[in-house]
Amino acid sequence: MIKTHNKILKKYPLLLTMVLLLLTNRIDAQVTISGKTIAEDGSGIGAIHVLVYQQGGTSIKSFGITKPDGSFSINVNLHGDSLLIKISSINYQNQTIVIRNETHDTTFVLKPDVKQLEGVTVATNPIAKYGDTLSYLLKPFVRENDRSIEDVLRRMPGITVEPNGQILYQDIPINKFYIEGMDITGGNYGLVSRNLPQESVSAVEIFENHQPVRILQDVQFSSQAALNLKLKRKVAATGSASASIGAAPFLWQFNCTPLIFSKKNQFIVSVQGNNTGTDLLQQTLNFDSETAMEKEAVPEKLVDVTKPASPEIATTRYLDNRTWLLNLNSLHYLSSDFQIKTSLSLTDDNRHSGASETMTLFTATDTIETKSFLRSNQRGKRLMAKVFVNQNTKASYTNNEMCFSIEDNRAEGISVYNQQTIAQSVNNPSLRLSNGFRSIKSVGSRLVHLNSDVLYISGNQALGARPVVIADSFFVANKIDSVNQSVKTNRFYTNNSAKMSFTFNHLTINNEFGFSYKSNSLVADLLTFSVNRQQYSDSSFINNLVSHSFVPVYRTDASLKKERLTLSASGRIGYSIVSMNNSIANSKANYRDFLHEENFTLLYKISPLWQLRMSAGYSKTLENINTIFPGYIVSSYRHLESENRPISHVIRLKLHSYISYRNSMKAFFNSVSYTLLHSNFDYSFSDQISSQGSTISRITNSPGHSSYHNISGYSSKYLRWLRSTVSLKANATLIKKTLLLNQQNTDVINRFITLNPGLMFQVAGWMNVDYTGSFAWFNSFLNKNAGTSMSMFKQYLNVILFPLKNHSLSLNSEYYVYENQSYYFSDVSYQYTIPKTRTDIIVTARNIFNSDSYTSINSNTYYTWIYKYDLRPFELLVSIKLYF
Amino acid sequence: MIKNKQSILTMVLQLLLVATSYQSTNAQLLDRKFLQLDKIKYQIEYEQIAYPDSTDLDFVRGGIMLLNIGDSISLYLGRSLFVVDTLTRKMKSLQEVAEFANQPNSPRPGSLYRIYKNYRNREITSIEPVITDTYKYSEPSDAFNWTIEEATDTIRNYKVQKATCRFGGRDWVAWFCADIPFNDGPYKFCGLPGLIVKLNDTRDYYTYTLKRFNTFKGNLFIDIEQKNYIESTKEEFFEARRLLLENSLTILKEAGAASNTMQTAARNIAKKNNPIELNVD
Repeated sequence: MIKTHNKILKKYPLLLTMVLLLLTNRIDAQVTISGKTIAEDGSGIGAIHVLVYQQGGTSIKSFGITKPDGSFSINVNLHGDSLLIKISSINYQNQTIVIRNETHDTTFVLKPDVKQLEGVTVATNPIAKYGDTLSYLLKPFVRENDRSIEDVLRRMPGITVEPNGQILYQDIPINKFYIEGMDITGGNYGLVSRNLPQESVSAVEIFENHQPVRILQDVQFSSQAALNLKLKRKVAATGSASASIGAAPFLWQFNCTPLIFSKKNQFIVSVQGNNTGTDLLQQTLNFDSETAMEKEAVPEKLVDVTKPASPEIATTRYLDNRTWLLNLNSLHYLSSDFQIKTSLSLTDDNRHSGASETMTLFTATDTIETKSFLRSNQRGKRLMAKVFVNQNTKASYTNNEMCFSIEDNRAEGISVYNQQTIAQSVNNPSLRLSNGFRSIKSVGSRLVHLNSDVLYISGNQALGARPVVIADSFFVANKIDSVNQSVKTNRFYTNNSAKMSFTFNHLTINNEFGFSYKSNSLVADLLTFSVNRQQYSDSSFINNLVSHSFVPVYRTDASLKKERLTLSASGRIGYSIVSMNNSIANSKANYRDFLHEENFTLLYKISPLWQLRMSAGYSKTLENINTIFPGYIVSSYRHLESENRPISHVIRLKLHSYISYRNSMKAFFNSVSYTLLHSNFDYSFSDQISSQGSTISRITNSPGHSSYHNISGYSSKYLRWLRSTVSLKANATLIKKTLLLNQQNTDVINRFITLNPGLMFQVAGWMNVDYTGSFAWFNSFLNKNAGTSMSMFKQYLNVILFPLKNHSLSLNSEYYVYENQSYYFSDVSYQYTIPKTRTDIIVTARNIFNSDSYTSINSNTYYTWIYKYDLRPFELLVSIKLYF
Repeated sequence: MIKNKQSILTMVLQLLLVATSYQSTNAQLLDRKFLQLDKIKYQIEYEQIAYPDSTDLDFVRGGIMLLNIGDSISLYLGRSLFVVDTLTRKMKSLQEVAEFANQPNSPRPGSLYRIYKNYRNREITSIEPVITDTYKYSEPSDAFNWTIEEATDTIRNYKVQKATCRFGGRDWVAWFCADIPFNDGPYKFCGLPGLIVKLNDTRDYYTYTLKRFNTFKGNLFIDIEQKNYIESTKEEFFEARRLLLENSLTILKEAGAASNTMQTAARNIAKKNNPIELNVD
C-alpha cells in the first residue's frame, strides 16, 4: 500500500519530464529517499530496515534504519532509471517497491508478521559429541612442533590454556583433569599437561557440566567441565627436572619429578634437595588449615634449645641448610567409582642458625639487659604416609583419609652468656595417627553431611642443659648446674558432626550437631645435678596429669540480605564436661558449664564508593587444657615455667569496624578500620625475673584481663602525570595487660606504631620501580612509667625489568641504619626462557654487598629482643629447568 | 596447587574477577532486583579470536560470545558469564553460591562486560565492572558511520555484503546478511540493515565469526540489575579502566604478592596493550 505525494509531477508533467530526463542523464545524480514506516493505526514504527538496490542488482547500494517515529531519509547516489526499495524487519512483512531514481517521500504501512528464521549451527571439526561428552581426536590438531599435550590443547576449539597452565573450557576452568578417568594430580595438573608428550595421548574428552561428587549430580549444578586424556599406550612415563649449582661455598639444588601412568595405576615421584636456603619443609607442611583436628594435631612444644625466632625475611637469605625430600604418590582404581590414593613422604632436614641476642626485661623497678650468642644445629627426620579411600556413587559419597606420621627432631644449641658457654640438647620424637571421614547421604529430600575426625598424637620431649641459669631457691640452694627435663604427652581427640541446611525465602539457616571428646595426658620429670654431679629431685618439678573433656555442640548460622544491607549471625552452644586427675597432688578437678559464642556482622553499601562493615562477637570458651601443668618444667636453660591454672573459661569480646572509600574513576582508594579485643580470664600470670634475666612463670588465681586496640588506615592515589601510585599505610596498636612482675601488680602497656609509605613508579612499559619505607616505633609503659622505646627504619627498593621478550630481570634491595651503621642488602635475578623449548635459565646473585648480619626487633609485654642474624654470604647460583 | 609463579598472579586477579563476577551474578536470594527488559527470542553465538598483546601474536585468546536478541533490546555478553549468571540465579541459598564460587577452579568468565542495545532509542548501554565498582555508560548506536561496499560473499550459507567503518581507533570490515533483518552484531557493532555475520579489524587483531544462530526456546529474559552503578560518560569509564590497569601492580602489592609475582604481573600488564576500542572516538 503506497501513497505517493508527487503533486508537482501531476501539475507540470511536460516540464518535469524534461527536467527528469536531464537529471537521469546526469552521472552520480544524488536523490533523497525519505518517508515513514507506520502501523495500520498510523503510529510510526522504528528500527525498520530500508534497503536501496539498483533495479536488477543484488547488492545493497544504500540503506536507512527508521527512527523511533518511523521516519527515514536516505541519500542515494546512483545512476539508472529506477531503484528497488525493500522494507525489511523481523516482526513485519517485507515490502518491495520500484521507484524512479529521484527524490521520493513515501509512507509504508506495515503489517505484522511472524517470521521463522532458520537457525544455523556451524558444524565443528573432528569432534564427536555423545551426550555430555565431547571427544576430540588428537591427530587433526597436532602440529609439527608440538611436544606436550598442552601444546595441542591450546589449539582445540573451546579449550583455552592460560599462560600459567590453567585449562579453561568455554572460558570456565575445568574442575577435574583425569588421566584415563583417574585424578592423581588433585588440581595440580600443570605437572602433567606440560610434561606428558602428546604422542602418548590418543584422544581428549570433555565431560560437560561435570559434578565430580556423584550424589550431588542432580542436586548441585556444575557449569564446569572435566577433561580426560585417553592414553595410546598402556604405560606412559614423563616428568620434569631442575638443577642449580653455585658458589661460594659450593651450592646445589635439584628437583626431579617423574610421572608414570597406566590404565589402572598412576605414580608421581618427586626427589628434591638443596643447600641453598630453600625451606622444603614449607612445601610439605599443611598446618595452616583451620579445622579443629589440625589445630589439635600440632603438639605443644614445651622444651627447646634457646634459639632466635625466625626473621621475617626469605629463608634463602639466612637459612644454612641441607635438606632432602622424597615424595611418592600413587593412585589405584579398584572400580570406576572406587579408588585408593596413597602418599608417602620422607624428609631429612639439617639446619644451622646463629644470631646474637640482646634481651631487655622491664619490671616496675628495674631494667635488665642480657647479651648472648646463640648457635644451634637442628636435624629433623620425618616419615609421613597417607591413604585415601574414595567411593563416589549416585547414592552416596564417602571419602576417608588416614594419616600416619613419625618424626624425630633433634637439636644441639650453644648459648654464650656472661662468658659462660651453655650447652643444650633436645630430642623430640613424635608419632601421629589420624583419620578423617566425610560423607554425604540423602535423608528424604535433604542432604546430610557427616564428618568424623579421630586423632592420636604422642610426643616425648627431652631437654638437657648445662649449666642452667635459673634463680629458683631449689636451684640456688643445691647449686644446680645441669638438668634433664623430660615431658611425655599423649592425646586422643575425636570430633563428629552432622550438618543440614534450610532455606526460607531470603533467609538461609545452617544447622550442625556434633560432639568432641579429648583425652590428654602429660607426664613430666626433672633430673637435676649439682656442680659435683650429685642428683637432686623435688616433687614440685613432677607432673602426672590425665584430663578428659566431652563437649556436645550445636552450631547455627543465618544470613539475610536486603538491598544494600547484609546481616549475618552465627552461634554455637556447647556443654563442657571436663575432668583432670593430678596423680602427684592426688587431686581431681572437675568443670561443667555451658559455653557459647555469638557473632554478628553488618555490611552496608552506603553508595557505590562508600562501604561500611561492622562486626561484634562475644564468647565464653574453655581455655586450652593441653598446656595445664602444675609442676614446674624447665623449658630452656633460663626459663622455669608452671601453668598451675584451674580449668577455666575465658570471656572474649571483639568489635571491628571498617569504612572504605574507593573511587576507581580517580584511582583513589582509602580505608580505615578499628579493632578492639578484650579478654577476661579467671587467672593471671605471675613472672619472677632474676637479675641474670632468667624467668620463672607461674599462675595466680586472681582474675586477669587483657585488651587490644588497633587502628589502621590506608590511602593510595594514582598520579597520572607522574605515572606513579603513591600510598601510605599507617597502623597503631595498643596492648594492655595486667600481671604480677616480681610480685608486684604491674600494668603493662605496649604501643606499636608503623608507617609504610610507598611509591610504585612505571618508568616505562618494560620497567617498574617499587619503593616502600617501613618506619616502626615501639614503646612500653609499666604502671604508666615509660619502660622502653625503640625505633627502626627500613627502606626497600624493587626494580622489575623485562627489556626483551623471554628476558626478565629483577633487583630487590633493602637498606637500614642501626646503631649508626648502614646495612645494604641486594639480590639480583635474571631469567631467560629459551623459546619453544620451555627451558628456563635463571641466574641469581644473592647478597651482593656480602652483608654478614641482619637486625630485627621483637617485643612482647615486658621483653624486647634484638637479634642480629648471621646471613648467607654473597652467592651466585645458576639454575636450569627442563621437561622430559 | 599450581606452583608456577604466574599462577599466583592469575589467582589474585582471578579472585578479583571471580569476586566481581559473582557479585554481579548472584541471584534474587541476595535480594538483588532485576528489571526485565525483553524476552530472549534469538540467541546468536560468535566466536571471538583476539590478540590482546599486539607485540606477541603467539598470545591468542579465543572465546564464545552471545548475542541475545529480543523485540526491541539485545544483550551481548560472554557465554560463560551468561552460564554463570543463569546457574547462580537458580541456586537457593547463599551457601550454595558460596560453595559454587569457592570451588578451587571456580568458573571465571573472561569478559565481564554486558552491552545492551536498544533498537528503538538507538542507544548502546555498556555495563562493566572495574574491580569492585560497576560502571554504566551509554552512547548513541548511530555512531557507526558505515560505508556499504559492492562486494558480496557467502559465509555459513548466508548471502552477505561488505561494509566498512572506523570505530574505537580501528578500521573494521563487517559482512552482514540482509536476510536476517537484525540491526545488530558482535560487541557494540550495529547500524547495518542485517545481522553482522563476520567482523574483523583490518589488522586482524579482533575477529568475530557467527557460529550458531538459534531461535531461543527457553523462557529467559534480557534483564538489567537494579543496583548502584557508577553512571559515567564513556570517556570517564575508559579513564577508570586505564587507571586500573596502570595501578594494578599496586593492587597486587596490597594483596601481598611476592616479588617474582610482581615481575610476572608487570609483564602481563604490558601485554594488555590492545583493547577492542583503542580510544574514544
